Amino acid sequence: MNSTTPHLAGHVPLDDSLSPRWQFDHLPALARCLSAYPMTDLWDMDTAALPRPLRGIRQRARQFAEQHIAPVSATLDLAPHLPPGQIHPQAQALLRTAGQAGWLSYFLPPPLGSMSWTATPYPPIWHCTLVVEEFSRACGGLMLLLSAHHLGTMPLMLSGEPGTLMRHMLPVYRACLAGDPHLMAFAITEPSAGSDVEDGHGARQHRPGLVARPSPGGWLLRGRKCFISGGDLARTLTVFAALEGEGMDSWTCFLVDASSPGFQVMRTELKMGMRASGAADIEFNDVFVPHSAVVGGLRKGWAINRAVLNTSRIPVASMGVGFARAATEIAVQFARRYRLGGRPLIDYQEVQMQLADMVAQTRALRGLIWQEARHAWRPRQLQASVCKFHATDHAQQVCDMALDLLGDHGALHEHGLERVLRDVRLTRIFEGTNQINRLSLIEDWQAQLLDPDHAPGV
Amino acid sequence: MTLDDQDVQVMLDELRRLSRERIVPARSPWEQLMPPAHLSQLLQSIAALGVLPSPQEEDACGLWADCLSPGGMALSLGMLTVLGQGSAAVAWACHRRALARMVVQRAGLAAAHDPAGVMTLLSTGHHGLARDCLGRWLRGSGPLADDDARMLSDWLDRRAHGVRLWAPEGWSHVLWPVWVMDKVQWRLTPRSNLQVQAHRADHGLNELEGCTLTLRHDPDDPISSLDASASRQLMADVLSLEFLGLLAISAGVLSCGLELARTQAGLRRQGGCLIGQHPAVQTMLAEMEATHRVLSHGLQGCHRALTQTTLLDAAAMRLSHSPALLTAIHHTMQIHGGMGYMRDVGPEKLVRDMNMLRWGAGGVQALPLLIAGLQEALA
Repeated sequence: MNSTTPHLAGHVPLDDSLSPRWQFDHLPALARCLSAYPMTDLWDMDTAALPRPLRGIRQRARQFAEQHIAPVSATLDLAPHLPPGQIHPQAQALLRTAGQAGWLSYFLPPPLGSMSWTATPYPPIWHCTLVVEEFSRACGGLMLLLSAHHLGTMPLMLSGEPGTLMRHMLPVYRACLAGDPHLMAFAITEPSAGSDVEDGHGARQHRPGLVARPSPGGWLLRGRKCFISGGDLARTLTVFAALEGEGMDSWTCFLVDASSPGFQVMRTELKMGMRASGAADIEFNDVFVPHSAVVGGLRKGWAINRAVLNTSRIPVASMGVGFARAATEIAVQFARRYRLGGRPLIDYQEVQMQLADMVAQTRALRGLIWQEARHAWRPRQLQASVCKFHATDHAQQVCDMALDLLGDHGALHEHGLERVLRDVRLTRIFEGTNQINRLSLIEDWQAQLLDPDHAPGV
Repeated sequence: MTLDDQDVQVMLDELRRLSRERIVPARSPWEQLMPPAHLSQLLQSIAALGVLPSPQEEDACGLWADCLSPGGMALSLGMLTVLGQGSAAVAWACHRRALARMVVQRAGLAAAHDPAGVMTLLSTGHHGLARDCLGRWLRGSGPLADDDARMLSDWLDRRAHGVRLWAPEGWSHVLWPVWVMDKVQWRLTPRSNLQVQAHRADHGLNELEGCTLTLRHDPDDPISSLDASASRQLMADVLSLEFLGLLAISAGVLSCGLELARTQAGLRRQGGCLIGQHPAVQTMLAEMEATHRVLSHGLQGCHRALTQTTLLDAAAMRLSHSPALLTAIHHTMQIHGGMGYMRDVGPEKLVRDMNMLRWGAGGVQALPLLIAGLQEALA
């Protein structure tokens, strides 16, 4: 059958009698119930398979990302590095818009937050992974600017104290929804301890850098925190410090007002990527924190910290999917548009093979993350770490493949792809390096591994 | 001039001294780009050492000046490794300028070259390596198929397609291959005959001017008139030297990364001991070391006349080393943890520059089909 229907080289047209689509269309009705050749967009297909409330979240997140985040991404990535506390007007505007749209308060339902009541049967981490993927696809830096805020609120969420939520979360959420973004940040990393504050063995050896000394009515914090995402703009921070004279077992979470005397953002880092979000180096010179600002109780900080990381690592994995997806989509568009030898690149088999691998890898990573996120009411450390290190390592590979396909065209900022590559790189380092996350998996698996009467299942 | 091992070592030691005293300080602090004037001075100093002889100089012994002797190749590959360890951008600029000199001489364009001008070279067409068509044409067995001719003509069409160039500011001429009557000829085009679109920002090699070039009109630029055999041979040699040169620069970049990683591993503590004592870090360092050694040995294997290293060899080397190089340079960053991601520390610059080395000269993705085209078994 001669066909004038457009088709890719090496493939029969869709209306060819040997095309599966044509063949399936001509099967008996009953057979067509079991064999189909849908032409639906993959994103639409996956979205349709989600529970209805989450479907809506994913659609709204994508719409917001395409409308508000993507248009300013390139500008903010190239913007000059600003002194601590200063923010680019476009980033400020985005924060305001995002806050008003509920993107800074979606971990709780009304009257506390903007989570839809119909979505409450599903783990908030699942909501978060959907949002983070869409935002990452549009811009890693702005995604982090918005997501670091949620990380900052997590200790409050996980404190187990309803009063804490009412006293501290509610005003934050209300301010954001009112268009006055009150950002929070999560402060654990210290200059001498990156991995040591995320791993028990390391923590056991670490001499705490930030210490809380008793003072009338509360505590005085002295020391330093570094690489704090959003720490330069946060009004409130959840800060982890050891009690004076004690070790990491005494770690306690303190809610710190950034306007407190003695609190100073010394600098923000010159990052390779995710530049729209700052990483702050913060000094605490006897910053006073009242007793009422202790989150979850004294010496509960280590547990809260670990719980927060279990919560955050699955969305971090979703960042990887967002980046892998962005890279794949850019590569697909490039291959459709760019011509070599009079034909679009996508006509060439070697390009098709490369794109197929990228699509497969991206979708496999998403499958892993959704599988874990859908059950993540009480995320397990092992699952969270698996998602984090596996997804981000492989997302990097997908981004590298995309750039190999573009060749030196990809080196140009205007294509957006080299920015994705710079952004994805951070996901293999923060929230615990991928090496630490591998050890975190083993740490959580210890009970099964050490049980002589049990062959561990995988 | 015949160079023995001792001559080569003396010259490389001299270049190492210059790198230590001039190039390494110039790249610090990492987050600040070397100003163009400073880069220009560096290149002049490097040229003054004899690394970059002019096309008019006969019997020179600089970079790519003598590809027919083991000593000449050892010197060239060694120079690029030393320069790469100091700065990938400096090494890239020298490599391309020296290649341009080599091509100008062999293509019979030396008289057309303005000694006051600064030449650079592009070795490939607008994307990749023209699939398997280039390999088949280079093999030269049998008449050229119409599809191959169409592909090569398009691949080297300088008016229809923009190509990316990274060169020191102030370059005056580009030497690039063009397709003329089923042959690759070399055209020496002055900047004034080009549409030069500056890039807003580039991923790496930011010390250089990044721009996209298109031939503005049909000017009367000097162009070579090589016969079919000479045309094939020169193109094959240029690509071989490109691939080997970029590998040598990569070895230098990795060497720098290894130094940074080892230093960090010996300073930073985690879990109560130096991170260099943790097997996870030891594994990464070992992989870096192994990649570096295997590449160095591979490059040493090319210390022989270029006639004895085929394009197939060079392409295969680039294809097989590239994945390990990418992994290894990322280990530099990973070993540094969060610090490694910051622009003022070093590893992130090395990662970006290594990416540029990977994407240049047609990229790594295109190599399998080039190799397929070159292989006799597919005739």
